[in-house]
Amino acid sequence: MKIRWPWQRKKENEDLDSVESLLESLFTPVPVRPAFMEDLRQRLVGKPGPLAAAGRSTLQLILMIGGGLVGLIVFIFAGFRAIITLITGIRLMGSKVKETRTERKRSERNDS
Amino acid sequence: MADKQIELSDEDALVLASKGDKDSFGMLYDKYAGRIYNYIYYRTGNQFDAEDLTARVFFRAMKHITRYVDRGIPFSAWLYRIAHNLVANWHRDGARRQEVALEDGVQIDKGEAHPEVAIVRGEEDLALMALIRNLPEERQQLLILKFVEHLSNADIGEIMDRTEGAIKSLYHRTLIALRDDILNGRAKGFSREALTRLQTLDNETKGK
Repeated sequence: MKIRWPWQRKKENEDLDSVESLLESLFTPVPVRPAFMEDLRQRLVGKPGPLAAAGRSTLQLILMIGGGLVGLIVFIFAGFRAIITLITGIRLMGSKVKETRTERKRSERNDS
Repeated sequence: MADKQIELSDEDALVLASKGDKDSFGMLYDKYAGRIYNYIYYRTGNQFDAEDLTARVFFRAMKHITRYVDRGIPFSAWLYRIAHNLVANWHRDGARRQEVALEDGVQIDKGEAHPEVAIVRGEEDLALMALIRNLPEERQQLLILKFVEHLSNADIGEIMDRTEGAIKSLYHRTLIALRDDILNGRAKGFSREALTRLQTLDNETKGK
């Protein structure tokens, strides 16, 4: 039987630790294609997984919030435009009334 | 429905699934599909066969789950055994095995900052993977369960139907075999840097 001295054993253990480190860096978990996972789940169970369901509801939520925001912005913009148009219209009407009055006064003076 | 699934333990889900409850089987699938895929991926070396065999594992599990009686082994161990048998059959088909490119089986990009470092690292990984592929099947299985799945010796023992002590011993012998292969230069393509690194890795770790 081959005799192994303590320092030889120590070296051997160090080597094995190094091999373990190499293996740890070699074997990293690989991600599974979500499409494959979902497709297989559908084939097995016939229902979408919780992730897919969550994904779908999140998408719906995003679309709803986005649509709501766009609608709100359009509504506010249209409201502002209406108010501005109304104010401008009132001003124009006011100035036209004034002009008409001044013209009337002028024509009355000229007639007299 | 999702809340119900979260609350269920493996055992409860198994009982329900064996009575034909698909939601419970779906819960077990969600829990173990990724792990089984990883195991098969490292045993076969490519994504396509890994996906195909993973699907077969779960179809077989679903087919036989009604007959699944508590044999004193966890459900995960049962799944790994199915996966192991399917991979063994796949390996027996020699022609198909030769078509597998080893490069497909190893992720070369591991986030190294410099491309050259990534290439050297990738070559080392390929060489080491080639060594591992030459190991007996049970040793490959052991390494994958230990390093990819991070299972304990006891859990690996349940899957491989051995005692914890036997697994510990097998693991030690596997490490020695790998070390000897590396140091004797049996790893073709294993760079000199990698060999040096093997010798100094511990010192570097201690230095940090």
